[in-house]
Amino acid sequence: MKRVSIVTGHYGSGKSEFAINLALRTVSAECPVALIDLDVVNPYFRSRERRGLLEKHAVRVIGNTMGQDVGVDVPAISAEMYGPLQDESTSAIIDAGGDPVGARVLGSVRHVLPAAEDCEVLCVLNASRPETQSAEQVISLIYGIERESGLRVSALVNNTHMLEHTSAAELARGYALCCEVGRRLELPTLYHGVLQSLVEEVPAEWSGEIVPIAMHLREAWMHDAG
Amino acid sequence: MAEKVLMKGNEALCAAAIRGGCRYFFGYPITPQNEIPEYMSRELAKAGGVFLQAESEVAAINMVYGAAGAGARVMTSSASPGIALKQEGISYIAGAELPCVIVNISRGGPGLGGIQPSQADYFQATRGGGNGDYNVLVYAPANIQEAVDLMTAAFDLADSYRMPVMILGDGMIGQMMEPVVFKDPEPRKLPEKDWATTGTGGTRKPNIINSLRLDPAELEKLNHKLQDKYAQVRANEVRYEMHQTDDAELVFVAYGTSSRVVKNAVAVMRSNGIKAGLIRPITLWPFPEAAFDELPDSVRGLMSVELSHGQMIDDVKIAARGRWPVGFYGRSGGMIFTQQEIVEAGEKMHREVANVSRV
Repeated sequence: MKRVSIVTGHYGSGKSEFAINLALRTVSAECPVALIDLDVVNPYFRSRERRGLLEKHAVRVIGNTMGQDVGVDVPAISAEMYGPLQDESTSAIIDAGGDPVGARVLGSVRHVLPAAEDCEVLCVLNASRPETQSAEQVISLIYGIERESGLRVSALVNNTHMLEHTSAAELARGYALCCEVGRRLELPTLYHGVLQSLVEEVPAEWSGEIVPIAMHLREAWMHDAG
Repeated sequence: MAEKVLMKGNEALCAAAIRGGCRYFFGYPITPQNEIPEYMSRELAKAGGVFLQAESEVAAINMVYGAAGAGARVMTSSASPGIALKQEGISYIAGAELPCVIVNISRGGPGLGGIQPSQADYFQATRGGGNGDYNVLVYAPANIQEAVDLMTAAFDLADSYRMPVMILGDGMIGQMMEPVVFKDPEPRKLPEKDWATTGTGGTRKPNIINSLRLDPAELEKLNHKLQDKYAQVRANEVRYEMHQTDDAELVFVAYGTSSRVVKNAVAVMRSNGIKAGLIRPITLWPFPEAAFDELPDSVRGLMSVELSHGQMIDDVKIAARGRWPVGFYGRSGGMIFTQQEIVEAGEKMHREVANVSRV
Protein backbone atom coordinates (compact mmCIF):
# COMPACT_ATOMS: atom_id res chain seq x y z
CA MET A 1 0.00 0.00 0.00
CA LYS A 2 1.27 3.47 -0.86
CA ARG A 3 1.40 6.34 1.62
CA VAL A 4 -1.70 7.99 0.17
CA SER A 5 -4.62 5.88 -1.06
CA ILE A 6 -7.53 7.59 -2.74
CA VAL A 7 -10.66 5.45 -2.77
CA THR A 8 -13.07 6.23 -5.60
CA GLY A 9 -15.82 4.27 -7.35
CA HIS A 10 -19.46 4.02 -8.14
CA TYR A 11 -21.66 4.96 -5.26
CA GLY A 12 -22.82 1.87 -3.46
CA SER A 13 -19.68 0.01 -4.47
CA GLY A 14 -18.65 -0.25 -0.83
CA LYS A 15 -15.94 2.43 -0.89
CA SER A 16 -16.52 3.60 2.66
CA GLU A 17 -16.62 0.10 4.12
CA PHE A 18 -13.44 -0.73 2.18
CA ALA A 19 -11.77 2.50 3.35
CA ILE A 20 -12.65 1.81 7.00
CA ASN A 21 -11.33 -1.74 6.82
CA LEU A 22 -8.19 -0.62 4.96
CA ALA A 23 -7.53 2.02 7.63
CA LEU A 24 -8.01 -0.42 10.50
CA ARG A 25 -5.63 -2.99 9.01
CA THR A 26 -2.99 -0.40 8.10
CA VAL A 27 -2.80 1.55 11.35
CA SER A 28 -0.11 0.66 13.88
CA ALA A 29 2.18 2.41 16.36
CA GLU A 30 4.77 2.78 13.59
CA CYS A 31 2.25 3.73 10.93
CA PRO A 32 -0.21 6.46 11.87
CA VAL A 33 -3.23 6.62 9.56
CA ALA A 34 -5.67 9.41 8.79
CA LEU A 35 -8.99 8.61 7.14
CA ILE A 36 -10.18 11.66 5.21
CA ASP A 37 -13.89 11.41 4.46
CA LEU A 38 -14.60 13.59 1.43
CA ASP A 39 -18.04 12.12 0.73
CA VAL A 40 -20.30 15.11 0.09
CA VAL A 41 -22.81 13.06 -1.91
CA ASN A 42 -24.32 10.50 0.46
CA PRO A 43 -26.33 11.69 3.45
CA TYR A 44 -26.11 8.32 5.30
CA PHE A 45 -23.56 5.47 5.59
CA ARG A 46 -20.41 7.58 5.56
CA SER A 47 -17.09 6.48 7.02
CA ARG A 48 -16.97 9.42 9.46
CA GLU A 49 -20.07 7.98 11.17
CA ARG A 50 -17.70 5.34 12.57
CA ARG A 51 -15.38 7.90 14.14
CA GLY A 52 -15.73 6.20 17.53
CA LEU A 53 -14.52 2.84 16.28
CA LEU A 54 -11.75 4.35 14.15
CA GLU A 55 -10.40 6.63 16.87
CA LYS A 56 -10.44 3.76 19.33
CA HIS A 57 -7.96 2.09 16.99
CA ALA A 58 -5.94 5.33 16.70
CA VAL A 59 -7.10 6.17 13.18
CA ARG A 60 -7.43 9.94 12.84
CA VAL A 61 -10.77 10.82 11.21
CA ILE A 62 -11.24 14.03 9.25
CA GLY A 63 -14.86 14.89 8.49
CA ASN A 64 -16.46 18.25 7.81
CA THR A 65 -15.71 21.61 9.39
CA MET A 66 -18.92 21.56 11.41
CA GLY A 67 -17.70 18.83 13.73
CA GLN A 68 -20.88 16.86 13.10
CA ASP A 69 -20.56 13.40 11.56
CA VAL A 70 -24.26 12.51 11.31
CA GLY A 71 -27.17 14.49 9.94
CA VAL A 72 -25.33 17.17 7.98
CA ASP A 73 -25.19 16.98 4.19
CA VAL A 74 -23.39 20.19 3.33
CA PRO A 75 -20.05 20.23 1.48
CA ALA A 76 -18.09 21.79 4.35
CA ILE A 77 -14.70 20.26 3.74
CA SER A 78 -12.05 20.69 6.40
CA ALA A 79 -8.66 22.22 5.58
CA GLU A 80 -7.34 19.78 8.19
CA MET A 81 -7.16 17.22 5.38
CA TYR A 82 -4.08 18.91 3.89
CA GLY A 83 -1.98 17.94 6.93
CA PRO A 84 -1.79 14.15 6.55
CA LEU A 85 -1.59 14.40 2.77
CA GLN A 86 1.66 16.38 3.05
CA ASP A 87 3.06 14.80 6.22
CA GLU A 88 5.41 12.07 4.99
CA SER A 89 5.29 10.27 8.34
CA THR A 90 1.53 9.59 8.04
CA SER A 91 -0.50 7.35 5.80
CA ALA A 92 -3.67 8.88 4.46
CA ILE A 93 -6.75 7.24 3.01
CA ILE A 94 -9.20 9.47 1.19
CA ASP A 95 -12.77 8.17 1.02
CA ALA A 96 -14.22 10.12 -1.91
CA GLY A 97 -17.91 10.39 -2.69
CA GLY A 98 -19.40 8.09 -5.29
CA ASP A 99 -19.45 8.50 -9.04
CA PRO A 100 -17.72 11.25 -11.05
CA VAL A 101 -19.75 13.84 -9.14
CA GLY A 102 -18.34 12.61 -5.81
CA ALA A 103 -14.81 12.55 -7.25
CA ARG A 104 -14.98 16.19 -8.28
CA VAL A 105 -13.93 17.35 -4.81
CA LEU A 106 -10.58 15.60 -5.33
CA GLY A 107 -9.63 18.46 -7.61
CA SER A 108 -9.11 20.54 -4.48
CA VAL A 109 -6.41 18.19 -3.11
CA ARG A 110 -4.65 17.43 -6.38
CA HIS A 111 -1.95 20.06 -5.84
CA VAL A 112 -0.80 18.59 -2.52
CA LEU A 113 -0.80 14.90 -3.44
CA PRO A 114 2.59 13.14 -3.42
CA ALA A 115 4.12 11.76 -6.62
CA ALA A 116 2.78 8.52 -8.09
CA GLU A 117 5.28 6.31 -6.24
CA ASP A 118 3.63 7.39 -2.97
CA CYS A 119 0.04 7.78 -4.14
CA GLU A 120 -2.52 5.35 -5.53
CA VAL A 121 -5.94 6.16 -6.93
CA LEU A 122 -8.15 3.13 -6.43
CA CYS A 123 -11.40 2.49 -8.22
CA VAL A 124 -13.63 0.19 -6.16
CA LEU A 125 -15.83 -2.10 -8.25
CA ASN A 126 -18.92 -3.99 -7.20
CA ALA A 127 -20.19 -6.10 -10.09
CA SER A 128 -23.50 -6.62 -8.23
CA ARG A 129 -24.49 -2.99 -8.81
CA PRO A 130 -26.58 -2.57 -11.94
CA GLU A 131 -24.45 0.34 -13.19
CA THR A 132 -21.12 -1.51 -13.00
CA GLN A 133 -21.79 -4.93 -14.46
CA SER A 134 -20.04 -4.67 -17.84
CA ALA A 135 -16.50 -3.60 -18.71
CA GLU A 136 -17.95 -0.80 -20.87
CA GLN A 137 -19.93 0.59 -17.92
CA VAL A 138 -16.87 0.47 -15.64
CA ILE A 139 -14.56 2.06 -18.19
CA SER A 140 -17.03 4.88 -18.73
CA LEU A 141 -17.22 5.35 -14.94
CA ILE A 142 -13.42 5.45 -14.65
CA TYR A 143 -13.15 8.02 -17.44
CA GLY A 144 -15.80 10.09 -15.68
CA ILE A 145 -13.96 9.92 -12.35
CA GLU A 146 -10.70 10.88 -14.07
CA ARG A 147 -12.33 13.76 -15.91
CA GLU A 148 -13.95 15.23 -12.79
CA SER A 149 -11.03 14.69 -10.39
CA GLY A 150 -8.15 15.46 -12.74
CA LEU A 151 -6.48 12.29 -11.40
CA ARG A 152 -5.57 9.09 -13.20
CA VAL A 153 -7.00 5.88 -11.68
CA SER A 154 -3.99 3.65 -10.96
CA ALA A 155 -5.54 0.39 -9.75
CA LEU A 156 -8.78 -1.53 -9.29
CA VAL A 157 -10.33 -3.02 -6.17
CA ASN A 158 -12.62 -6.02 -6.58
CA ASN A 159 -15.21 -5.29 -3.90
CA THR A 160 -18.02 -7.30 -5.47
CA HIS A 161 -20.56 -8.12 -2.82
CA MET A 162 -24.22 -8.64 -2.06
CA LEU A 163 -23.83 -7.60 1.57
CA GLU A 164 -24.14 -10.61 3.90
CA HIS A 165 -25.60 -12.64 1.01
CA THR A 166 -22.33 -12.56 -0.96
CA SER A 167 -21.20 -15.83 -2.51
CA ALA A 168 -17.85 -16.96 -3.92
CA ALA A 169 -19.45 -16.96 -7.38
CA GLU A 170 -20.16 -13.23 -7.08
CA LEU A 171 -16.57 -12.54 -6.05
CA ALA A 172 -15.36 -14.50 -9.06
CA ARG A 173 -17.66 -12.55 -11.39
CA GLY A 174 -16.21 -9.34 -9.94
CA TYR A 175 -12.66 -10.58 -10.42
CA ALA A 176 -13.37 -11.46 -14.05
CA LEU A 177 -14.76 -7.94 -14.56
CA CYS A 178 -11.66 -6.39 -12.95
CA CYS A 179 -9.41 -8.51 -15.17
CA GLU A 180 -11.28 -7.43 -18.31
CA VAL A 181 -11.23 -3.74 -17.35
CA GLY A 182 -7.60 -4.09 -16.25
CA ARG A 183 -6.62 -5.64 -19.57
CA ARG A 184 -8.23 -2.85 -21.55
CA LEU A 185 -6.97 0.04 -19.41
CA GLU A 186 -3.71 -1.58 -18.26
CA LEU A 187 -4.69 -1.40 -14.61
CA PRO A 188 -3.73 -3.93 -11.93
CA THR A 189 -6.27 -5.33 -9.44
CA LEU A 190 -4.48 -4.45 -6.20
CA TYR A 191 -7.04 -5.53 -3.62
CA HIS A 192 -10.02 -7.75 -3.07
CA GLY A 193 -12.49 -6.56 -0.45
CA VAL A 194 -13.76 -9.91 0.82
CA LEU A 195 -16.19 -10.64 3.67
CA GLN A 196 -14.29 -12.28 6.50
CA SER A 197 -16.39 -15.43 6.10
CA LEU A 198 -15.37 -15.80 2.44
CA VAL A 199 -11.63 -15.15 2.68
CA GLU A 200 -10.81 -18.88 2.59
CA GLU A 201 -12.67 -19.23 -0.70
CA VAL A 202 -10.51 -16.81 -2.66
CA PRO A 203 -8.40 -18.80 -5.18
CA ALA A 204 -4.66 -18.57 -4.51
CA GLU A 205 -3.91 -17.64 -8.13
CA TRP A 206 -5.80 -14.34 -7.98
CA SER A 207 -3.48 -11.36 -8.19
CA GLY A 208 -3.87 -8.73 -5.51
CA GLU A 209 -4.06 -8.57 -1.76
CA ILE A 210 -7.10 -9.60 0.27
CA VAL A 211 -8.61 -7.01 2.59
CA PRO A 212 -10.99 -8.92 4.87
CA ILE A 213 -14.17 -6.89 5.27
CA ALA A 214 -16.12 -6.52 8.49
CA MET A 215 -19.36 -4.64 7.79
CA HIS A 216 -18.96 -1.74 10.20
CA LEU A 217 -21.53 0.53 8.52
CA ARG A 218 -24.33 -2.02 8.52
CA GLU A 219 -26.39 -2.06 11.71
CA ALA A 220 -27.15 -5.43 13.31
CA TRP A 221 -30.89 -5.13 12.57
CA MET A 222 -30.23 -4.74 8.84
CA HIS A 223 -28.98 -8.31 8.57
CA ASP A 224 -32.49 -9.66 8.87
CA ALA A 225 -34.21 -8.74 5.61
CA GLY A 226 -37.53 -8.55 7.45
CA MET B 1 -33.18 -7.38 -14.91
CA ALA B 2 -34.33 -10.82 -13.79
CA GLU B 3 -31.17 -11.42 -11.78
CA LYS B 4 -30.42 -10.19 -8.30
CA VAL B 5 -28.77 -6.76 -8.09
CA LEU B 6 -27.69 -4.60 -5.19
CA MET B 7 -29.57 -1.32 -5.02
CA LYS B 8 -30.20 1.60 -2.75
CA GLY B 9 -33.86 1.94 -1.72
CA ASN B 10 -34.38 5.24 -3.52
CA GLU B 11 -32.92 3.94 -6.79
CA ALA B 12 -34.80 0.66 -6.55
CA LEU B 13 -38.10 2.52 -6.05
CA CYS B 14 -37.44 4.42 -9.28
CA ALA B 15 -36.53 1.34 -11.29
CA ALA B 16 -39.70 -0.33 -9.99
CA ALA B 17 -41.82 2.74 -10.79
CA ILE B 18 -40.62 2.80 -14.39
CA ARG B 19 -41.27 -0.93 -14.64
CA GLY B 20 -44.73 -0.31 -13.17
CA GLY B 21 -45.48 2.13 -15.97
CA CYS B 22 -44.47 5.50 -14.53
CA ARG B 23 -43.73 7.91 -17.40
CA TYR B 24 -43.96 11.32 -15.72
CA PHE B 25 -42.12 12.60 -12.68
CA PHE B 26 -42.42 16.04 -11.14
CA GLY B 27 -40.52 16.83 -7.98
CA TYR B 28 -38.23 19.06 -6.02
CA PRO B 29 -35.04 18.00 -4.19
CA ILE B 30 -34.90 17.28 -0.47
CA THR B 31 -32.75 14.90 1.58
CA PRO B 32 -33.01 11.91 2.14
CA GLN B 33 -34.86 11.21 -1.13
CA ASN B 34 -32.62 13.05 -3.60
CA GLU B 35 -31.56 9.87 -5.39
CA ILE B 36 -35.16 9.59 -6.64
CA PRO B 37 -35.26 12.77 -8.75
CA GLU B 38 -31.62 12.18 -9.69
CA TYR B 39 -32.36 8.67 -10.98
CA MET B 40 -35.54 9.78 -12.72
CA SER B 41 -33.77 12.70 -14.40
CA ARG B 42 -31.30 10.20 -15.84
CA GLU B 43 -33.52 7.21 -16.61
CA LEU B 44 -37.10 8.33 -17.27
CA ALA B 45 -36.39 9.83 -20.69
CA LYS B 46 -34.79 6.52 -21.74
CA ALA B 47 -38.16 4.87 -21.05
CA GLY B 48 -39.91 7.48 -23.18
CA GLY B 49 -41.01 9.52 -20.18
CA VAL B 50 -40.65 13.07 -18.92
CA PHE B 51 -38.77 14.28 -15.84
CA LEU B 52 -39.24 17.83 -14.71
CA GLN B 53 -37.78 19.52 -11.67
CA ALA B 54 -40.47 21.92 -10.56
CA GLU B 55 -39.79 25.27 -8.92
CA SER B 56 -41.33 24.04 -5.66
CA GLU B 57 -43.19 21.15 -4.08
CA VAL B 58 -46.49 23.00 -4.59
CA ALA B 59 -45.77 23.32 -8.30
CA ALA B 60 -44.69 19.67 -8.52
CA ILE B 61 -47.88 18.25 -7.01
CA ASN B 62 -50.03 20.45 -9.25
CA MET B 63 -48.10 19.17 -12.27
CA VAL B 64 -48.94 15.68 -11.01
CA TYR B 65 -52.59 16.79 -10.78
CA GLY B 66 -52.53 17.96 -14.39
CA ALA B 67 -50.73 14.92 -15.80
CA ALA B 68 -52.95 12.52 -13.84
CA GLY B 69 -56.02 14.35 -15.17
CA ALA B 70 -54.75 13.74 -18.69
CA GLY B 71 -54.53 10.03 -17.90
CA ALA B 72 -50.75 9.77 -17.46
CA ARG B 73 -48.98 7.44 -15.06
CA VAL B 74 -47.30 10.02 -12.89
CA MET B 75 -45.45 10.21 -9.61
CA THR B 76 -43.77 12.64 -7.28
CA SER B 77 -41.51 12.15 -4.31
CA SER B 78 -40.35 14.19 -1.38
CA ALA B 79 -39.46 13.99 2.29
CA SER B 80 -41.58 15.05 5.23
CA PRO B 81 -41.76 18.89 5.06
CA GLY B 82 -41.91 18.65 1.27
CA ILE B 83 -44.91 16.31 1.54
CA ALA B 84 -46.50 18.82 3.93
CA LEU B 85 -46.27 21.40 1.14
CA LYS B 86 -47.96 18.97 -1.23
CA GLN B 87 -51.00 18.30 0.94
CA GLU B 88 -53.27 20.82 -0.76
CA GLY B 89 -52.60 19.23 -4.14
CA ILE B 90 -53.04 15.72 -2.77
CA SER B 91 -56.46 16.68 -1.41
CA TYR B 92 -57.42 18.13 -4.82
CA ILE B 93 -56.22 14.96 -6.57
CA ALA B 94 -58.25 12.82 -4.15
CA GLY B 95 -61.28 15.07 -4.68
CA ALA B 96 -60.94 14.87 -8.46
CA GLU B 97 -60.53 11.07 -8.17
CA LEU B 98 -57.23 10.91 -9.98
CA PRO B 99 -54.60 8.17 -9.79
CA CYS B 100 -51.00 8.99 -8.93
CA VAL B 101 -48.14 7.70 -6.80
CA ILE B 102 -46.49 9.74 -4.05
CA VAL B 103 -43.30 8.68 -2.28
CA ASN B 104 -42.41 10.04 1.14
CA ILE B 105 -38.91 9.10 2.34
CA SER B 106 -39.44 10.64 5.72
CA ARG B 107 -37.06 12.44 8.05
CA GLY B 108 -37.21 13.83 11.56
CA GLY B 109 -39.54 16.72 12.33
CA PRO B 110 -41.39 18.89 13.17
CA GLY B 111 -40.62 21.80 10.86
CA LEU B 112 -37.55 21.46 8.71
CA GLY B 113 -36.29 18.97 11.31
CA GLY B 114 -33.26 16.93 10.28
CA ILE B 115 -32.21 14.50 7.58
CA GLN B 116 -32.06 11.27 9.60
CA PRO B 117 -34.82 8.62 9.39
CA SER B 118 -38.14 9.04 11.16
CA GLN B 119 -41.71 7.71 11.21
CA ALA B 120 -43.34 10.87 12.48
CA ASP B 121 -45.38 11.33 9.28
CA TYR B 122 -47.85 8.56 10.12
CA PHE B 123 -50.64 11.03 10.93
CA GLN B 124 -49.80 13.09 7.83
CA ALA B 125 -50.05 9.99 5.63
CA THR B 126 -53.02 8.19 7.19
CA ARG B 127 -55.16 11.07 8.41
CA GLY B 128 -55.17 12.84 5.08
CA GLY B 129 -52.98 15.78 5.89
CA GLY B 130 -54.96 17.95 3.53
CA ASN B 131 -58.54 19.09 3.98
CA GLY B 132 -61.69 17.07 3.53
CA ASP B 133 -62.86 13.49 3.96
CA TYR B 134 -60.29 11.64 1.92
CA ASN B 135 -57.70 8.91 2.24
CA VAL B 136 -54.74 7.74 0.27
CA LEU B 137 -53.66 4.11 0.12
CA VAL B 138 -50.45 4.03 2.20
CA TYR B 139 -47.83 1.30 1.94
CA ALA B 140 -44.93 1.00 4.38
CA PRO B 141 -42.25 -1.36 3.06
CA ALA B 142 -39.80 -2.89 5.55
CA ASN B 143 -37.09 -3.86 3.09
CA ILE B 144 -35.98 -2.92 -0.40
CA GLN B 145 -37.46 -5.98 -2.08
CA GLU B 146 -40.84 -5.21 -0.56
CA ALA B 147 -40.48 -1.56 -1.59
CA VAL B 148 -39.85 -2.69 -5.16
CA ASP B 149 -42.78 -5.11 -5.20
CA LEU B 150 -45.20 -2.55 -3.75
CA MET B 151 -43.98 0.19 -6.08
CA THR B 152 -44.23 -1.99 -9.18
CA ALA B 153 -47.91 -2.61 -8.42
CA ALA B 154 -48.69 0.90 -7.14
CA PHE B 155 -49.64 2.44 -10.49
CA ASP B 156 -52.09 -0.38 -11.24
CA LEU B 157 -53.70 0.11 -7.83
CA ALA B 158 -53.91 3.87 -8.28
CA ASP B 159 -55.57 3.41 -11.68
CA SER B 160 -57.82 0.69 -10.37
CA TYR B 161 -59.28 2.85 -7.57
CA ARG B 162 -58.64 6.27 -9.13
CA MET B 163 -56.90 7.47 -6.00
CA PRO B 164 -53.41 8.47 -4.85
CA VAL B 165 -51.17 5.69 -3.57
CA MET B 166 -48.40 6.63 -1.16
CA ILE B 167 -45.21 4.71 -0.46
CA LEU B 168 -44.09 5.78 3.01
CA GLY B 169 -40.52 4.78 3.80
CA ASP B 170 -38.35 6.30 6.47
CA GLY B 171 -34.96 7.65 5.39
CA MET B 172 -33.31 4.33 6.12
CA ILE B 173 -35.53 2.56 3.55
CA GLY B 174 -34.48 5.19 1.01
CA GLN B 175 -30.77 5.11 1.81
CA MET B 176 -29.95 1.52 2.66
CA MET B 177 -28.83 -1.02 0.09
CA GLU B 178 -30.14 -4.54 -0.30
CA PRO B 179 -30.27 -7.21 -2.99
CA VAL B 180 -33.42 -7.01 -5.12
CA VAL B 181 -35.04 -8.89 -7.98
CA PHE B 182 -37.47 -7.11 -10.29
CA LYS B 183 -40.63 -8.99 -11.20
CA ASP B 184 -43.72 -7.98 -13.13
CA PRO B 185 -46.77 -7.32 -10.96
CA GLU B 186 -49.83 -9.56 -10.98
CA PRO B 187 -51.87 -8.46 -13.99
CA ARG B 188 -54.98 -6.52 -12.98
CA LYS B 189 -58.00 -5.74 -15.09
CA LEU B 190 -57.96 -1.96 -15.18
CA PRO B 191 -60.85 0.34 -15.97
CA GLU B 192 -60.73 2.53 -19.09
CA LYS B 193 -59.63 6.10 -18.39
CA ASP B 194 -62.74 7.47 -20.09
CA TRP B 195 -62.66 10.43 -17.69
CA ALA B 196 -59.25 11.71 -18.81
CA THR B 197 -58.77 15.01 -20.63
CA THR B 198 -57.35 13.49 -23.78
CA GLY B 199 -59.18 15.62 -26.33
CA THR B 200 -62.75 15.12 -27.50
CA GLY B 201 -61.95 14.65 -31.17
CA GLY B 202 -65.28 16.38 -31.71
CA THR B 203 -67.09 13.20 -30.71
CA ARG B 204 -68.03 13.74 -27.07
CA LYS B 205 -68.51 16.37 -24.41
CA PRO B 206 -65.26 17.60 -22.81
CA ASN B 207 -64.10 15.76 -19.69
CA ILE B 208 -63.61 18.19 -16.83
CA ILE B 209 -61.20 17.57 -13.95
CA ASN B 210 -62.27 19.52 -10.90
CA SER B 211 -62.62 19.23 -7.14
CA LEU B 212 -64.91 22.25 -6.76
CA ARG B 213 -68.55 21.36 -6.14
CA LEU B 214 -70.53 24.36 -4.96
CA ASP B 215 -73.83 22.50 -4.75
CA PRO B 216 -73.75 20.88 -1.28
CA ALA B 217 -75.88 17.96 -2.44
CA GLU B 218 -73.44 17.31 -5.27
CA LEU B 219 -70.48 17.54 -2.92
CA GLU B 220 -72.09 15.14 -0.49
CA LYS B 221 -72.73 12.77 -3.39
CA LEU B 222 -69.03 12.88 -4.28
CA ASN B 223 -68.14 12.18 -0.64
CA HIS B 224 -70.45 9.15 -0.59
CA LYS B 225 -68.78 7.92 -3.76
CA LEU B 226 -65.34 8.35 -2.18
CA GLN B 227 -66.45 6.55 0.97
CA ASP B 228 -67.78 3.63 -1.11
CA LYS B 229 -64.42 3.46 -2.84
CA TYR B 230 -62.56 3.54 0.49
CA ALA B 231 -64.80 0.72 1.75
CA GLN B 232 -63.71 -1.36 -1.23
CA VAL B 233 -60.06 -0.58 -0.53
CA ARG B 234 -60.58 -1.60 3.10
CA ALA B 235 -62.16 -4.85 1.96
CA ASN B 236 -59.56 -5.75 -0.68
CA GLU B 237 -56.20 -4.13 -0.08
CA VAL B 238 -55.30 -4.52 3.60
CA ARG B 239 -51.89 -6.12 3.99
CA TYR B 240 -49.95 -7.18 7.05
CA GLU B 241 -47.54 -9.79 8.38
CA MET B 242 -48.02 -11.84 11.54
CA HIS B 243 -44.66 -12.86 13.01
CA GLN B 244 -44.49 -15.42 15.83
CA THR B 245 -47.90 -14.42 17.20
CA ASP B 246 -49.34 -17.97 17.48
CA ASP B 247 -48.45 -18.41 21.15
CA ALA B 248 -47.41 -14.83 21.95
CA GLU B 249 -48.04 -13.11 25.26
CA LEU B 250 -46.64 -9.72 24.26
CA VAL B 251 -47.28 -8.57 20.69
CA PHE B 252 -45.36 -5.64 19.24
CA VAL B 253 -46.87 -3.58 16.44
CA ALA B 254 -44.27 -1.97 14.19
CA TYR B 255 -43.80 -1.11 10.50
CA GLY B 256 -40.92 -0.23 8.18
CA THR B 257 -37.46 0.05 9.71
CA SER B 258 -38.88 -0.26 13.24
CA SER B 259 -40.27 -3.69 12.44
CA ARG B 260 -36.79 -4.89 11.48
CA VAL B 261 -35.36 -3.91 14.86
CA VAL B 262 -38.40 -5.38 16.60
CA LYS B 263 -38.04 -8.73 14.78
CA ASN B 264 -34.53 -9.01 16.14
CA ALA B 265 -35.82 -8.06 19.59
CA VAL B 266 -38.53 -10.75 19.37
CA ALA B 267 -35.83 -13.36 18.70
CA VAL B 268 -33.82 -12.18 21.71
CA MET B 269 -36.89 -12.16 23.97
CA ARG B 270 -37.87 -15.65 22.86
CA SER B 271 -34.36 -16.88 23.64
CA ASN B 272 -34.87 -15.28 27.08
CA GLY B 273 -38.05 -17.36 27.47
CA ILE B 274 -40.56 -14.57 26.78
CA LYS B 275 -43.18 -15.27 24.17
CA ALA B 276 -43.11 -12.15 22.03
CA GLY B 277 -44.53 -11.63 18.56
CA LEU B 278 -45.08 -8.91 16.00
CA ILE B 279 -47.89 -7.53 13.89
CA ARG B 280 -46.32 -5.70 10.97
CA PRO B 281 -48.76 -3.46 9.10
CA ILE B 282 -47.80 -3.22 5.41
CA THR B 283 -50.74 -0.96 4.60
CA LEU B 284 -50.94 1.86 7.13
CA TRP B 285 -54.18 3.02 5.55
CA PRO B 286 -56.24 0.93 5.53
CA PHE B 287 -54.89 -0.12 8.92
CA PRO B 288 -54.91 -3.92 9.35
CA GLU B 289 -57.48 -4.15 12.13
CA ALA B 290 -58.18 -7.77 11.13
CA ALA B 291 -54.68 -8.75 12.28
CA PHE B 292 -55.70 -8.05 15.86
CA ASP B 293 -58.75 -10.31 15.62
CA GLU B 294 -56.40 -13.17 14.69
CA LEU B 295 -54.44 -12.90 17.92
CA PRO B 296 -54.62 -15.93 20.21
CA ASP B 297 -55.99 -15.97 23.78
CA SER B 298 -52.43 -16.09 25.11
CA VAL B 299 -51.88 -12.39 24.34
CA ARG B 300 -51.68 -10.18 27.45
CA GLY B 301 -50.55 -6.89 25.98
CA LEU B 302 -49.62 -4.93 22.87
CA MET B 303 -46.76 -2.50 22.38
CA SER B 304 -46.59 -0.02 19.53
CA VAL B 305 -42.97 0.68 18.53
CA GLU B 306 -42.37 3.70 16.33
CA LEU B 307 -39.67 6.15 15.28
CA SER B 308 -41.88 8.91 16.67
CA HIS B 309 -43.52 9.79 19.97
CA GLY B 310 -46.59 7.69 19.22
CA GLN B 311 -48.85 8.10 16.20
CA MET B 312 -49.73 4.59 14.97
CA ILE B 313 -50.56 3.77 18.60
CA ASP B 314 -53.93 5.50 18.06
CA ASP B 315 -54.80 2.95 15.36
CA VAL B 316 -53.47 0.14 17.53
CA LYS B 317 -55.82 1.23 20.31
CA ILE B 318 -58.76 1.44 17.91
CA ALA B 319 -57.97 -2.05 16.60
CA ALA B 320 -57.43 -3.43 20.11
CA ARG B 321 -60.95 -2.27 21.12
CA GLY B 322 -59.95 -2.38 24.77
CA ARG B 323 -59.11 -6.08 24.67
CA TRP B 324 -55.50 -5.60 25.71
CA PRO B 325 -53.44 -2.86 27.37
CA VAL B 326 -51.40 -0.95 24.79
CA GLY B 327 -47.85 0.17 25.62
CA PHE B 328 -45.45 2.29 23.60
CA TYR B 329 -41.77 2.69 22.87
CA GLY B 330 -40.34 5.24 20.47
CA ARG B 331 -37.35 7.36 19.54
CA SER B 332 -37.45 10.46 17.38
CA GLY B 333 -35.46 13.17 15.67
CA GLY B 334 -33.61 10.64 13.53
CA MET B 335 -32.44 8.44 16.42
CA ILE B 336 -33.02 4.72 15.87
CA PHE B 337 -33.57 2.43 18.85
CA THR B 338 -31.35 -0.59 19.33
CA GLN B 339 -32.82 -4.04 19.64
CA GLN B 340 -31.69 -4.03 23.27
CA GLU B 341 -33.85 -0.98 24.00
CA ILE B 342 -36.86 -2.81 22.55
CA VAL B 343 -36.04 -5.96 24.51
CA GLU B 344 -35.89 -3.98 27.75
CA ALA B 345 -39.11 -2.06 27.08
CA GLY B 346 -40.87 -5.25 25.97
CA GLU B 347 -39.70 -7.29 28.95
CA LYS B 348 -40.76 -4.54 31.34
CA MET B 349 -44.25 -4.46 29.87
CA HIS B 350 -44.38 -8.26 29.83
CA ARG B 351 -43.67 -8.32 33.57
CA GLU B 352 -46.48 -5.82 34.14
CA VAL B 353 -49.11 -7.65 32.09
CA ALA B 354 -48.08 -11.32 32.27
CA ASN B 355 -50.32 -12.19 35.19
CA VAL B 356 -53.22 -9.93 34.35
CA SER B 357 -56.18 -11.89 33.07
CA ARG B 358 -57.61 -10.78 29.79
CA VAL B 359 -60.09 -7.91 30.02
